[in-house]
Amino acid sequence: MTLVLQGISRDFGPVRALDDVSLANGPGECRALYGGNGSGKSTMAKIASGILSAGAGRVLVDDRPLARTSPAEARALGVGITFQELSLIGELTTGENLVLADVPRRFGFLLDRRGADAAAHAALKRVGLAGLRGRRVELLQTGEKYLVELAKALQSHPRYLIIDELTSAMHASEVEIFAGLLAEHLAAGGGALFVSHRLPELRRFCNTISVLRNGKLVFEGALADVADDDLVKWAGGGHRDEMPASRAPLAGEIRVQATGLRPLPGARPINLAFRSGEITGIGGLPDQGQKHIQRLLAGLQPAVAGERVTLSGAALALGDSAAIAAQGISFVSGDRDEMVFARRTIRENMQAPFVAMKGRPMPDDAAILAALDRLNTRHAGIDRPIGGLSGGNQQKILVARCLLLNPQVIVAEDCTKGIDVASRNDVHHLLRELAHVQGAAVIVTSSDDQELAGLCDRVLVLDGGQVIAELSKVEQTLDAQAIVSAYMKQERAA
Amino acid sequence: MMLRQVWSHPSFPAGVLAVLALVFALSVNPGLLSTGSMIGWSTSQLGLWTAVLGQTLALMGRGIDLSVGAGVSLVNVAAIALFEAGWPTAGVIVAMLILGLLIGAANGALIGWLRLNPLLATFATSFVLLGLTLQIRSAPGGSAPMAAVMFMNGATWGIPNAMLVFVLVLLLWGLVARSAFWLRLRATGADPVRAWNSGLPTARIKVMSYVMAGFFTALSGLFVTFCVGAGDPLFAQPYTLLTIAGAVIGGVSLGGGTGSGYGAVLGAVFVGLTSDIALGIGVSPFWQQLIVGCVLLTGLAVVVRAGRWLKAKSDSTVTRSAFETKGKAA
Repeated sequence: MTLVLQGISRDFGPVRALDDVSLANGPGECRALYGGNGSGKSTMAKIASGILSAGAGRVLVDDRPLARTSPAEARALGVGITFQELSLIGELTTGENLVLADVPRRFGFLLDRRGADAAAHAALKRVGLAGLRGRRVELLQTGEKYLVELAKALQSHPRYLIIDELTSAMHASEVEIFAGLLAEHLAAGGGALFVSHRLPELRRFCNTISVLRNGKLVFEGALADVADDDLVKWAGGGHRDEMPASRAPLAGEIRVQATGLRPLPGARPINLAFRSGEITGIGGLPDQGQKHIQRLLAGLQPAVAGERVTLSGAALALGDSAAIAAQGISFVSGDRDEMVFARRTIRENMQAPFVAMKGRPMPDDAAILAALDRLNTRHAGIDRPIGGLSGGNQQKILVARCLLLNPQVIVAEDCTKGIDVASRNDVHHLLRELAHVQGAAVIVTSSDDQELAGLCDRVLVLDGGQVIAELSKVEQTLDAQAIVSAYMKQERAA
Repeated sequence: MMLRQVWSHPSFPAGVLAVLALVFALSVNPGLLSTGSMIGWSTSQLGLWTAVLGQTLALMGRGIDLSVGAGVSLVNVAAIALFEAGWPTAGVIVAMLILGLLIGAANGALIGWLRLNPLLATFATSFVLLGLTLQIRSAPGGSAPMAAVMFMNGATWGIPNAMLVFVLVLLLWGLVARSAFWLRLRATGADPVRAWNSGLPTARIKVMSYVMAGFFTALSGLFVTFCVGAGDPLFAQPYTLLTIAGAVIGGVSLGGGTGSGYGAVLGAVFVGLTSDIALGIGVSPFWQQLIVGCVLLTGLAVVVRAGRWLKAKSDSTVTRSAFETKGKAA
């Protein structure tokens, strides 16, 4: 009784994403699928769940072959998957999403409302969100969406659960819920494939591991027998997230001055300032107003009454993203759906922001290639669509174009979401260079407190739209523990 | 809570608009309320009201049906041809319903299985259907059985029979709207890739949506036949764009996945009333088209803007109340 992927190969155009990779997953086993960007681990997960076809090789679920490229068939054979980019439909309610694939019926064709509601209630109760089944998914918070995605994958009672980067956008308490459900699934004799970049999580959840590197299987074995450094080395990632040498940041002038901000509806207004040459992180529990602040600065959200932002003394045209981009603020989001022109070439994606900057010359191919080289981006030519690259490489390109733009301010919204350690380091180096050498004001958020602590010169911790702590690297008050205890203390006090 | 569900419903603005248009039409022409006028109005609109439901099915799955007008016309002239060949009424009805399903299946196969662009595919089939229509009858003429025509143009207890028939159509639509298929179609229209990833047979769902749309096209063609009593190859041609306008005003999204059939009918009622109003205020026929167009534009703008505003308002109520309850729980 195993899930077997046998001799899987798969090409995307000229890029060989997977080259003769085999793995197996048995009852009670949680296997980590680990590797860098473009190593093929997401492709592997998608082939196992019938989303993508394998160029060569086959998938066997308990000895039965997955004959067609069809998620429905994989589901029927007993494979459930949670998607990194979610499979939930925003316009439908949470409850409707949960019963879609297997709608409870009356008379064969009518929707059994009561049955559907009961099924949704039972499934959502497992993730503690039964009360949200009447709410449209697009109105949920990010962590809630991932929990619903998990409930949906478990809904068909799969024997094999494929988990693709589910936890990276979850808060600690949500990860606990996931941990409980995973343990339950494994104890009941299910198997799981766990795709993640986070070694501590792999260590916590998995007992075996397969490491991929450039589409090839480079290691397979028990997780307890290998050291983190070896894993990172095998994945081709150089070294682990190294802490930057603590240095005195440039004592830059105040570049962005924001007054009367209301990060959450009904919250007291706050004032914020961001200096040039400094990387400022905005941390805290999810959805405490981080998004509002960043989106406001990027012009992607209209201002609430009383909000005013100046850039080097000049008022920003809030709500007008094109004007703000032209004034020198660049926005990078970890949500590639809204950042990338997937069908357009890498070159066009690199040039896209220059369209808003009237009078700035378009970067030529040499400049584009130089910027890409700086980030070690793997690609098969800048004439190819960016959508053909792995998510991590797409993300690197979005950051690399800031090099060309040389903006005054960079607003980065969880911009390393779902990127492996090596690429994350590349992105961090680049952000540091943009801030410390080129003198940009960099404003970042991250779902990973460790990352905020490592990357930032200063971190503002938000809670309920208020700054409840300001931690600084120079004053040596900044580390991940300090960030966590700042917002946890607040939570306990409330 | 219940009240919010009413005003935040995507069909709410269209309902308000339809009522306003009706009140206005009655104020310029109070005679409209007489049974005779109501019969005239409902028989002239029944085909459109029914056809808009087919259009709604196509739009819901992120498709569109530009062959509605031609399809209704083909059913109309084919039915008259069969009557003239001596077919009994029941036989003609069954044959025409099958014809409608076949038209829908053809559209569905082109779009769902061959993956042609719905706009272009149905644009092309509309010419095929128009060609067939003109082959059968190139000018208005022929006649439907007197009994059926008399029934459609009659009234029961002062209520036009055409309206009663439409109540039956709405009951039929109620089954569609309560079906498991409707939920899956909404999912497919809202996000085809995610729906497929969730295990839905999206191609088959799209094909089915056009087959069902074809059924409503056939019903519409039969109603036109019995209301008008003759075959006319061009009578229903404007239905294509009128149904799209009606559905969109009724809150059905061109992007697929949102809206309802009842809203689309309200939109179609409004679209149909605009020309009645233009007639009623007695302007020169040369100005009529201009006025109809302006009223339509106003209706569209009001509905789309008001719909967005109400939705944002409702959503912020939902998220804010969630925020507040969370605060209390902590």
